[in-house]
Amino acid sequence: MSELFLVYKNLFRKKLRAFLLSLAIFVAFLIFGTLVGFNQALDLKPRDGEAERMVTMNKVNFTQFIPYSYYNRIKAMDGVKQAFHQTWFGSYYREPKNFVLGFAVNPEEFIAASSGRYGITEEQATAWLADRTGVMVGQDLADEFGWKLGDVVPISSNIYTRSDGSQSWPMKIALITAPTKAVPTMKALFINYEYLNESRTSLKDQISQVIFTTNSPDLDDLVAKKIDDSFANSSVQTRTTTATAFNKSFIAQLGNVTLIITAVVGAAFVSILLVIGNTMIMAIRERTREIAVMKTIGFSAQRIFRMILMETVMLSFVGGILGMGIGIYLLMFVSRLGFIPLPMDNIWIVALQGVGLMVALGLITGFIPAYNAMRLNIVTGLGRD
Amino acid sequence: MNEPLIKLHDVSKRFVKGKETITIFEHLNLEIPRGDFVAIMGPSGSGKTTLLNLIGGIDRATSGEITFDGNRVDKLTEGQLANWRSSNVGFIFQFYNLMPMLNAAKNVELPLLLTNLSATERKRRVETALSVVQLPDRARHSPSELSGGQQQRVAIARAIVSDPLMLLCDEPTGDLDRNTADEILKMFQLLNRELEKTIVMVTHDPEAAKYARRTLHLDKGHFTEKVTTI
Repeated sequence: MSELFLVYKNLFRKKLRAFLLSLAIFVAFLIFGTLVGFNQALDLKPRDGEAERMVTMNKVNFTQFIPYSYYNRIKAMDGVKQAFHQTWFGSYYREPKNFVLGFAVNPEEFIAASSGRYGITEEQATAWLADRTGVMVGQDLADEFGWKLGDVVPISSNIYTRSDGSQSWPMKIALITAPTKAVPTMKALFINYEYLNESRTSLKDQISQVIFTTNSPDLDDLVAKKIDDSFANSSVQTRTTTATAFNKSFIAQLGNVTLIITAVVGAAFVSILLVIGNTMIMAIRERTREIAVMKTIGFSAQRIFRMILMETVMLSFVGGILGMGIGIYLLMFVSRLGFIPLPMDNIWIVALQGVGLMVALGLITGFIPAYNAMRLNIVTGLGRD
Repeated sequence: MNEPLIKLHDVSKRFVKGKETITIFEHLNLEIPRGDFVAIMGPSGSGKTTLLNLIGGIDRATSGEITFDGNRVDKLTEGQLANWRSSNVGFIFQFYNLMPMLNAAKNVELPLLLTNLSATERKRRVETALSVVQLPDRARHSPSELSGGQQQRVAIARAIVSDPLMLLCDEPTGDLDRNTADEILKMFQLLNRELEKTIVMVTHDPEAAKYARRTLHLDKGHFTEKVTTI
């Protein structure tokens, strides 16, 4: 028998109580793992050596359009290294319930700007460039709908209408991207902007965003300001941010994401703190006589203090590891669905934060009962039932 | 019997309760030689248990000196007292005070967690202690699966497993029937005679006191002594 075993036996002496407390902690860390992991993914910065992408969009919000001519002006600006444009297509396959993340791009510029990011073979790239109806799809999306190279599939839009009144565009699967380290899962499609623009009846020569890199990260702020200033007196004004901030603004339509997440996680933990703290105080009080006996045998006050803290930390870990693990797994599952870009590269930071929180939760909830036990007078304790 | 193992010199114990000061005893002197088996009797409130607590270092005297094997116990800090108790004193209580979530063997092993003994050595000592109290076949049983007498034997095994010089017993047979009490008391005699444990036992029961080498009556803060030949 070790001290840890003794702590374990004390913790699980009342199995129902231990189970319910673990469940409460499980829920708190499930919320933590999911929400904080989500926030972390949105805040993900580019890897070392990788240039941060910048995004120029309509100042009102990203659902509004900007004129195509802006793209040519941005591309020609000093400090802009490489650029491409993208236009939200509002796409679905056959039925609106089969929503697909889709953008119209210039294939040549898109491939040039994204080289190395997606798993693209030269042969497939050539095929996409050669066919205006060609479409690039992610492997995961192709697998989901059973698409193969050369298949012609109807892709509909919930925004645009063709001159014949239909909202469906026949498209040929020209390129299926392989997973890469940068983009391990991709459930999006990219169509040819020219093909869309010439056939749509509205919003002609309009694009959603211009995405570009600068010659140096030091120039990012300067170039962003220059772009926005140059369109400041135009009918359509722009807002230029980093891609990270853009991704976050995509979600921020719901509100201040960080504030909401902080509030929800905070509320969950304060509640758990009170529940566990109170339960542990009662649990240790029930054990007053046993603690007095242990002290009589020779367990020092400090040792008793440490053992009770170990018990609450252990409790915190039992529910916490499980809750956070499932929370992060859920997040990865959502990420694989591909609707929201959620890079999981830095999820280990959330895991570390979670472990730190588990230790903190255990120490805080255990402090008062541990302190009371440490101070317990042996004679008083032995006299209590 | 040799020089005193325990010596109380001019020991007083007073409690303050509200505005009232309650004196349990004053200027008490006592010597218990190594290898003695002493029963302490007396009316309720005479301070028997308090005396036992002072000897065992779980309570502090208001004044006076308490020495154990020539060393001042009353001068030790709380931490030093805890160490001293784990090495020198085995406690046996009226209501056994076993840990309900541990089986008999683990209960007996509890004091050994405070030592640096290996797991193998701890196991060996636990087996020996359970054999001494004739309960080797109940090692895996939890306290709730044992009778009162068996639980008290486990408590005795726990008290002797770290081989202390002294056993302090507070009404050890108070919760047992006559036959079981006699078995437990014979065990104390055995521990006293064969293993030379110094035993101090507080009891109300004159029959139990007969098993001791001598009986001290504590009343109104003073001792009277009766020697029993065993």
